[in-house]
Amino acid sequence: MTEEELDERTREALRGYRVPPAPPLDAMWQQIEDRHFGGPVVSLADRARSRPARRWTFGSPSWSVLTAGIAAALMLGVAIGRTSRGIVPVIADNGREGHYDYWTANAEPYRQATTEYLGQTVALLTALPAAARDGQPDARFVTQASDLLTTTRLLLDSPAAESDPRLKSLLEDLELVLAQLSRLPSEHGGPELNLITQALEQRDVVPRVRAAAASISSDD
Amino acid sequence: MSIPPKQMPRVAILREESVPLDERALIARILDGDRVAGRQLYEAHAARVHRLVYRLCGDAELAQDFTQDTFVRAFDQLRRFRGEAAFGTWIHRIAVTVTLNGMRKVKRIRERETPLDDGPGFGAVSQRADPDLRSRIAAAIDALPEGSRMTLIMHDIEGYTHAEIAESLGIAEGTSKSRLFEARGRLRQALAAFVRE
Repeated sequence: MTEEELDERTREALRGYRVPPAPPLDAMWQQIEDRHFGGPVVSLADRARSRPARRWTFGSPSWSVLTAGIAAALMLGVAIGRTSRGIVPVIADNGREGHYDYWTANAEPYRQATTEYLGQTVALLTALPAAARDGQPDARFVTQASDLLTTTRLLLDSPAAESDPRLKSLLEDLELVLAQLSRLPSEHGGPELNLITQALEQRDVVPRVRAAAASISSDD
Repeated sequence: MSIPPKQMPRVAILREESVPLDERALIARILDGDRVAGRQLYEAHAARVHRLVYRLCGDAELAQDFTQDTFVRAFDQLRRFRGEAAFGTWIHRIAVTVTLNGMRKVKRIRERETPLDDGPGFGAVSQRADPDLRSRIAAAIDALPEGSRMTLIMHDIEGYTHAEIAESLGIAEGTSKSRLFEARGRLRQALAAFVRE
């Protein structure tokens, strides 16, 4: 082998020294975001169906949320806990599309709490497009979203959500949306708010919330 | 054999710094907790940082960990960034430090290295090289002193200038040049047998 040939092959070999694989940009960013910014802003589309089943256990996130929640949420949790023992969820097909028909007569505490919660959530979500157009979320949004997020998690942990897949699915979607809203930065949150608004529209979240609220409140 | 400096491979790389980007504004937003700005700055530099880190450590999982550590440390220390050098230079310096410290902790790295014939990402170009030669070169590079190895990788493989290397490693440009000269000399010694064959 001549020196010229060796030079050429050496250049080729150097180029092949530890050729990097494609960088896993998204996976790395998730870790970076979690470690520096305190947790990722979840993607509604990616995570909507991946939520594991919850249980009432000490040390679980839901329990942490409960103990750290606001006084109103605690009251709701106590009310749910006191009434849950006697509730036997009923899932029956009465032929009405989208009807939330598991609300039994002894589930009145759930009905009131859920109806009120859904109404507040609709009010918050319907105001989002205007806030997004303004380019900056109102600080009240973040506070309200945080409060509603606590309530969402309480309801998700309740027997009512466990007994009805549609309500659970709706609450999971709302949990993700509210989690994103509650983490909006105090400034420059416009781009994220736009993304959240788009996700809401794509998944028809607001119409589903309205339908659920109407169904539950009319089922007296 | 001889490997003239101008003939040494300079792998073409995309200079992320050439992308129009108001990094000062992004940095200010990151300091305010804006994760979207953080993502933008990350997107501008992550690929090149990851590439260098992988070349230095040769392990995909470690490269991922070190790249993550680099950006977390950079974001955590962002208030100390005075803008005297480009952000790209600053974060590459962090990347080199993180990688070297990490490799020292993970002493098993060299034993874990995948044989080059089976290594990820080997394309058609590199496959044309003599397998024995590639193995010999890889072994020769791995056996270089740390400083010389890093300089050779950064200059002859990743295409960094001596000024960039000096900034990243915290050395003088002259030191970078002398380390490269030393690295090439050792490579020539390691490959001398191929000329005689």
